[in-house]
Parts: sequence; C-alpha cells; structure tokens
Amino acid sequence: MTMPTVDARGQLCPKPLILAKKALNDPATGPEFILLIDNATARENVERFLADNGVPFRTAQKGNEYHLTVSRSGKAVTASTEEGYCPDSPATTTGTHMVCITGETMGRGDDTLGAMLMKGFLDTMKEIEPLPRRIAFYNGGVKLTVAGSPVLPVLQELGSRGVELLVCGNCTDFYGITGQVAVGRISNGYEILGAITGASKIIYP
Amino acid sequence: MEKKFDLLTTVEYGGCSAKLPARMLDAILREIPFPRHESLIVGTETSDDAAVWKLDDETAIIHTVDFFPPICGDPYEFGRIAATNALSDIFAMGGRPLTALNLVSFPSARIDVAVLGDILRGGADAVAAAGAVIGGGHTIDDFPPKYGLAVTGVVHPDRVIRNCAARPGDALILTKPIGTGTLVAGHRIGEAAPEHYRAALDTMMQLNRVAVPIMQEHRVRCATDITGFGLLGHAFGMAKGSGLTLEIRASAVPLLPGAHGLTEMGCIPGAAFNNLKRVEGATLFAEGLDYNRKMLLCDPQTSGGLLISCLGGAADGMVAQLKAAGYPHAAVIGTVRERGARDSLLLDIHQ
Repeated sequence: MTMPTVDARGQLCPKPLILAKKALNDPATGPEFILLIDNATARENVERFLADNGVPFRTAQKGNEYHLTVSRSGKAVTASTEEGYCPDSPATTTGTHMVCITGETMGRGDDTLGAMLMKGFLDTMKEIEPLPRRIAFYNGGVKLTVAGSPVLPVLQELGSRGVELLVCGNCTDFYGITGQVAVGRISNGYEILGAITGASKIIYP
Repeated sequence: MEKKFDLLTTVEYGGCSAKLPARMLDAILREIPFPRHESLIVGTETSDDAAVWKLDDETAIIHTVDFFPPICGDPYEFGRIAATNALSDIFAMGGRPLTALNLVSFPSARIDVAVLGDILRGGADAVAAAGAVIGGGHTIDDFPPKYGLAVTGVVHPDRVIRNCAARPGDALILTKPIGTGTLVAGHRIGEAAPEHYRAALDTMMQLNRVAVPIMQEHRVRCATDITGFGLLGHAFGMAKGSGLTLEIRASAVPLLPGAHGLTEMGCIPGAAFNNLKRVEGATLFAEGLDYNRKMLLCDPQTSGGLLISCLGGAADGMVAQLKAAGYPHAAVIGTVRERGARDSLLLDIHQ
C-alpha cells in the first residue's frame, strides 16, 4: 500500500501549511502521509507548526525537496473557535515526565566518559516508551543543541516524535551560541520552571 | 470597464512583511557608530518609531520614513495604505505632520504609468487627510514597485510620546484590530471572504491621527504603532525599552473578522513565525493558550493601530473616547508591571 502524498511543491507560504493541516484533520488521510515541499522557508514553518502542536514527523531531504512523513496517530491538531478553546488531551506518544539536561556530560569524573554516557542515555531514551513530554537544556546542556553536536540527530528524532525541546535562551546568549541552536526552541526561565513544576517526574541524567 | 492592474502579481511578500528580519538588522546596526547629539532627543538607541530633534523649548521636529512593496491589488488603495502607514510614525510620537515627500520605485517598461498615477493619488489623499502637504519626491525605475513617504512633523518637546516610557501600573490600550497580515495572505490564495478582506483594507487606510489629541489630553508618555513585527514584537520593544514586563490578555486583543478562521485553516504568514522567534526567549505564554490566537498576536501588521500605555485609571475613559472618535474596536488589552533586575521576562501572555 502506498502512503497518501500531499504535494505542496511550487506553493508559497502559507499554502503548504494549509495543505498539511487539511490532511491532518481529514480522517480519510490514514495514519500517516507524506508532504512534499520544495521551499526551505515553508519547510521551516511547517516543521515549527507540527512541533508546536505535538504532531510527530520526520523529514528526509532529497535534492532540493523535503519529504515530511507526518503521523496522524498523535493528538489531534488544534481545533479551536473564536468563542472558546479546550486544551488538547495529552499526547499519546509522550508521558508526563520531563528530563533536565544541565551539562554536556553525564555524571562526574572523566568528561570523555561523561560525553559517551550522555549520548548513550539519549540513544536509549528514544527506545523507551513513553517518551518524556519535554527536555529542558540549561547551562552547559545548551551546547548539545547546536549544529555539530554529537547528539543532534537523536535530539532531532525525539523532537520529531513529539518531545518538546526547551533551550534556555539566557544560557545560549551567555555562551554566544544562540544563532547556532539547531534543534528545539529558545525558551526562558519562566517557561522551564513552569514545565518543571508541572511535570510528574523529573530526570536529571 | 477596463480591468485594473493587480499590483499583487508583482510581489511575494508585501507591506510591512517585507521588512528585513529584526535580528539580522540588529546585528548589522551594532557594528556602525551613530554619534549622539544633545538636540537629537530620540535617536537610534530605543528603536523608536521616528527621530526627534529639539529645535527650542517650544518645538521639536519629528523625522520618519517608510515604504514597501504592494500590500493589495488596487493601486489607489496601495498608495493610500502606504502613506497612512508612513504618517503613522508621526502620530505614534504624539506629533502633527507638516510635509511629506513621495518615495517611489516603479518599473516604467513593465507597468502602465497610469498605475503610478493611481498610487500617488492614494498617497496624496492620505496626506491631505492627515493635515499635511506633499512637498516633492523621488522616483527610481525599479521592479517590483514600492511606495511610501518621508514625513516631517512637529511636537512640543515635553509632549513627545516614546515607545520606552511605560510605567508600572499602566494600562495597555490597542486602538485597531489585529490580523491584516493573515487576511492579505488569505486573500492572495483565494480563501479570505471579500467582506473580511475589505474590512482589513479599510483598517489599513484609517489614520491614527484622531488618537493623538486623546493621548495628549490624558498626558500619555508612551505609545508605539503596530506594524511588521506584530503586536508582540512591538510590545516587546516597549517592555525592553521601559525596563518593565508587559502583561497581555490574549482574549482581550481585538481581531479583524475572519482572521481567526483563516489561522485555524493554517493560513499563517511566514513573518508571523519570524516574529514569534524574535520574542519567545523572553515571553511566557499561558499553558493552553489557543495556538491560533498566539500566532495572530505575532501576525505582521501593515498600518496597524497604536499600542498605548496610559495611567490605569484613565484607560476606560480613553477607550470610550477612542471608540467615539472612530476606533470601534479599541480595547484595554493588558497592564504593565515592575521587572526585577535579574528578571528577563518581557512579555507575560495570559489566556
């Protein structure tokens, strides 16, 4: 069986986003569909929209085209009216716990070992259900989110599976790497503290 | 009847959506020295709406310039909107415009020059309605077309209204509804209802002029006009410049009819995502806030309304006056509070 395909090539913003949302909200689409985009800005905005709404997806780049495989199995995308808004039910793919990553390495002692442990921790995390609802990165932990980070691929995968990745903006400013953050989104102390307060469990690797 | 030339066929991004990304601009401007002068009482430091030069104890001159590619299909309406938008910076500073100069890019080989006549006629009507006169202009043969004004105005030096002078306890008033960027985008893809698009054009052609005497009567010290960076982008600038935190009730922000429905459909202008990225490092959004409303708060506006920070006790009276003066959607949308020295939160967005 071939997966349904939504072709948004040659379409300018915000048309690709409209097509994506239409396919997401249409039960006839099936559990997954492929969205074809040939514009980097449209890709960035659609990915941001999907991540904001907890929709799992993965992106493959083929030449100048992006093929986004979007899952409809997660929570329903916002269906709100001007009159009222009901918060979505929790995502089925993630749990209610969160992970706080406060440094580039895991544990104390040798940093080479610590870096290996951190990579192993994140690689294993993606195999264990449920995934955490959020991962917060602060202090040295923000360095894991920049281009070239050894754990960038696994973080991208976690993000695409609906895990919200919050990166402390004061911390990236302090280290001068705000422009290099390649995964998750820049957040602030209030949001991170609110997330910690609301989490069922907090894991500090 | 001859079919009018559709200016929207010339551009991908129009109006204030065509601004350079603020982050890019900030990075470049940091590298360039701008010497200060004691008479330049409002300069580049606070990203205010216009420059203000104090001539003497009675008079300060306001200088501003704004121009952009087509925001709508009709040349007359484009001219009128672009001029209204350019004049808006004078009103946001609490001033009165005196003279305006046309700024024009126009591709003479590709578009009938009569279209330029319609654009300039729209601009001239807006300038006349603002109580100012056109004193000249400058044209370049260029594609796509662009239009705007350089405007000179006056204000009493003690009555300058800045974007960085909010005080704790102030109330925040917004004079016009939000959603012009979404409605223009929706119109371009054939999804906006004609009457909703019409309402967006009308609001963009409405001058902020009559809000000025109301602000001055209430001794308002702080306001800014809402344009390309969206309501949150301009509120962000106000909070940063004032050293305070702005609390905004999302549900109290007036929206243009049809804007929410378009957002729900996924019609979100790309610039709204850029605006969100610019503010979210120092913005707290309430848990469960309607995603569509959040994106509309970031919607890039063209010729938007004024965000006014006024004494809390004066807010309801001012809103009543603004409604009577022709801004029926004017509303109190939030408040201003103290910010601790180590607190980095600029915007606190409630449901």
